[in-house]
Amino acid sequence: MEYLNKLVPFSFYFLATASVLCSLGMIFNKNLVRAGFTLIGSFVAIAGIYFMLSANFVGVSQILIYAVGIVLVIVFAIMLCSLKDPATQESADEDSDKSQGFSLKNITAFIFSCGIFALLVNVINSIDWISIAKINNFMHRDVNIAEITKIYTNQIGYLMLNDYILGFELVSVLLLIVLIGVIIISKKEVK
Amino acid sequence: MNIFELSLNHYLILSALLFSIGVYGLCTRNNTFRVLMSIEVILNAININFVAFAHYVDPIFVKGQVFSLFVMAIAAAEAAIGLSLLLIIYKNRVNIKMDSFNSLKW
Repeated sequence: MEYLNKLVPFSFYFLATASVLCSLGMIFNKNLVRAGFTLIGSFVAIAGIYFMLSANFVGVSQILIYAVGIVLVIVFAIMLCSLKDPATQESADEDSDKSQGFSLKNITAFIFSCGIFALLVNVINSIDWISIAKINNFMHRDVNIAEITKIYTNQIGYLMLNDYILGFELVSVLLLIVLIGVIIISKKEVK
Repeated sequence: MNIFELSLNHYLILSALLFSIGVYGLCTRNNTFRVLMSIEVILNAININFVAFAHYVDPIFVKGQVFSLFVMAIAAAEAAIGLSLLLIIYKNRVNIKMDSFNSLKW
């Protein structure tokens, strides 16, 4: 099993590259339906990263909710909207060429997002996370971590129904409101 | 930061990279569907942060995983409401560009 541990960083880099490339493909692909399906690749790679972090339940929910649920709903909505615009004769499901080139808006947004990335990397590298983790885990030194990862799903269910019961109930009320609201919005008569 | 030994910094930097990609898409794209998908990428970047902190800082009571599930529920609600609003706007205007949403009532 020793050689398997050496493969773990490579699998992380593979999954990270896949998710970043698929997100970039979502932004730069000209075909909107294809961009939506590229997003599935990004979400599945992120689910693999969750499995690497021993968060099995979150990874499975990521595949079920994000990669299948949300992305397919978005793609179906794209397909419902893909007619041509009668005023300008350009297809509504594709970005026009002027938004892909080097306009002032694109360069400004590029500099802005690069600045955010540089700021975040600077903050991440300036803090010693390992000592913070050691302080937090000081009281639980005697617990075997490899054993406890097996009951993470039990732990999530326990926390949701004890410590975070208010958030759990609020989310269920929110989903009910969204269900009713979506039906009311989309049944509205078109003039 | 050692390249061949994974630490919390690797996951945080991946999350920062995905976040800035999402912000770039949010700022530049004129198509509302692409803006919604960029928001989904941003929420995923935040979820990576939650799960990575749960694994490295709080491995006993994985509270970050619970919050990542909450974020997923919020993202599903946001996508459903946003898409239904977008469809009703499309039915009225036959146009889904961000620039043309300058009035909410017409």
